[in-house]
Amino acid sequence: MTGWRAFSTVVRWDVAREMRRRSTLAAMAATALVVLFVLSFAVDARRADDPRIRAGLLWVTWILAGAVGAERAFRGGRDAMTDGFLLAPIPRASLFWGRTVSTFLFTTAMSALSIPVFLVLFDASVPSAGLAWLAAVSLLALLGMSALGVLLASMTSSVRGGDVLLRLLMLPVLLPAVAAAVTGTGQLLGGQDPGIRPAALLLAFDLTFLGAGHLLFDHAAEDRT
Amino acid sequence: MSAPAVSARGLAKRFGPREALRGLTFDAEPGRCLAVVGHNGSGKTTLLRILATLSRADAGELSVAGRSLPKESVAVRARIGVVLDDALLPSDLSLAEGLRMHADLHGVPSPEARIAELCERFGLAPRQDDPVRTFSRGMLQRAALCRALLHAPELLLLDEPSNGLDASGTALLDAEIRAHCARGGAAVLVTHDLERVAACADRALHLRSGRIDADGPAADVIRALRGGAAA
Repeated sequence: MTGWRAFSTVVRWDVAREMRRRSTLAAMAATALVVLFVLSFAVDARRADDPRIRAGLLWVTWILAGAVGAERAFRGGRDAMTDGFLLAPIPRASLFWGRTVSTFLFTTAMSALSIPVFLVLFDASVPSAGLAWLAAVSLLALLGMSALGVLLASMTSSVRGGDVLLRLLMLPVLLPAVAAAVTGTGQLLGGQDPGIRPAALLLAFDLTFLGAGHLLFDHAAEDRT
Repeated sequence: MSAPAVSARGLAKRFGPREALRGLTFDAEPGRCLAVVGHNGSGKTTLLRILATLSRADAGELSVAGRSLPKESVAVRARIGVVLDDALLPSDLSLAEGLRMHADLHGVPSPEARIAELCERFGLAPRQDDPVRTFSRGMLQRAALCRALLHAPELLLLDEPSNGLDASGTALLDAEIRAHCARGGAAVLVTHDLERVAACADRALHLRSGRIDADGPAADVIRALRGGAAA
């Protein structure tokens, strides 16, 4: 089976299963909503007027919800579908790309659902001219987050306390991407033009971790128990 | 003479300080069933997971279905059918959908007909559209056998395949293993069930603490083990 066919088969069956059970989407959406509601009560309304704070709140929500999705994206030894894919005659790199894209689709759906809630709770608005920019930066950041999450989840899935370890490893590594996304989103929410720099940084981050996953996933997904 | 279905030379595997496999050397021949027996923790399942490409040996040379591991792992996975302690079928999908997923991954031609044939053969046809999560342990084991045979593999790797099976399921399992070997396929049967070894295997390896303790005709190894147990 070619890499492309293997990739499309993994994505198709991942999406088919999620459409049947909706547990990953539900878990991410519930996390995002809870975090947004808690933050809306906890953050001082005057400080939340600062667009950088608002951008930070939005990205904290997406990162926490995205980590839930990443943890569920690879459960070697604990998930029949993942183990079935590992036994299939497909390159492991195709499994990495397939899992990254399906996780990206789920996190994008979660983000799309949470944006209206965020805008209402924090009385924020996005200038119509900046919508394309926000979409591009969000998609780049979510793609990088998905790639990193799937790669790290494959490394930690067979380790005791792997869920906690995944977050401990994922969040610091995400910092450069988060800093770029938060800075750009803050400028946009404040009515400024963020320019191309945040998107370029996120693109570099994505290429780094998509490349690392492509090369390392075969070793990372190996059984270590 | 055809190439061995499995050829292992000095296979070793370590988990931290614990040596799970210590220099195993053996062959499994086409048209034969090789049983691997031993107590819990003797290294049986570790060996099977290495043969199935789910784990990697730390040392030694290994070829499975005529392909070298770990270099040609994709080609090996196309030629093996594996039964582990899990059916490896997503619990939220129906049996037919789960088998269809595996058929897609293996590029099985005419998958619907093949799935229907296997479900019929294993007595699962009336339940093939039910979610896998509603299946009993024995039905899951039958479903796992369907999945393993779906792409007509050259080599069957079976880890305690009789777990949860009733008498008719066990008889079906024995018949499938014998029929597979009669067609020229090979099987590696990991078990502690000496009845299954007697019923299916031509040869047996006895593992003890990661080493081969006995290697010979299945009947001789069983006799030695039963004698040892009696003594």
